[in-house]
Amino acid sequence: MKNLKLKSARAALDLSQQELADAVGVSRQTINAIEKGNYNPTIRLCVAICKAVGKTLDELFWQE
Amino acid sequence: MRNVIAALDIALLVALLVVLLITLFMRSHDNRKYDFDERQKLARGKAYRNALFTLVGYLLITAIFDSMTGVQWSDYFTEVSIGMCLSVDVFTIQCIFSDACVSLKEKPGINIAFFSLMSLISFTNALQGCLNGYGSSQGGKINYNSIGFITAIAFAVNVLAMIVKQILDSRTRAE
Repeated sequence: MKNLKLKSARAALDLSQQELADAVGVSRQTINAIEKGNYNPTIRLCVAICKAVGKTLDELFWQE
Repeated sequence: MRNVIAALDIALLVALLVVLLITLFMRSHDNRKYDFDERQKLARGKAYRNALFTLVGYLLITAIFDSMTGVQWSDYFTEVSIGMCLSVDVFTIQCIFSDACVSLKEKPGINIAFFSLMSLISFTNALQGCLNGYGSSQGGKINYNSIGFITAIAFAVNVLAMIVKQILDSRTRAE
């Protein structure tokens, strides 16, 4: 399932996938895979992404 | 003619050693981390497993084929070398297409150049052997003189895969 919340949070901060990837220490393709729903990140990476975009885990990764 | 070929071989060896030493020197004086992120490590693990199964499967199939048909199409050294090249290619191609071939700080262009150089060196070395009278087959069997061509093909396949991946990747880069 696509993670549109992450994509919109990133876009709201005007961050590119590469910039977010650099901020959390992963490759651009990893961010792309998370947004497309092709990869389930570990909790450690989820927390790093949340801190980078200023959101909580619930806001970005909780599925209704 | 033999002296020229011997000189070329020595020059290639020296060039390889120089490249190796420069690479080692650069890495030891470089603060960048050549590591992979969690997704890449996972993908590399899967690729490694598939490469291992490919090698085991290849060796099993060739052993069964050889013993059942009695047809010896290659000497043992070459037969195993082909299997190794095949499994290494499975590993690298799977890594390339799952974006786990280059580490976070490396550039794919360097890998393409390196694999191209290795392919070229293997090919010229094998060609020199052929020109020198060492044929790649003898009595209907592929012999160890063909290994240069086999490794050249293996490296060339990697280069091709990397170029294809770069083209595919350029589509998602804009997102």
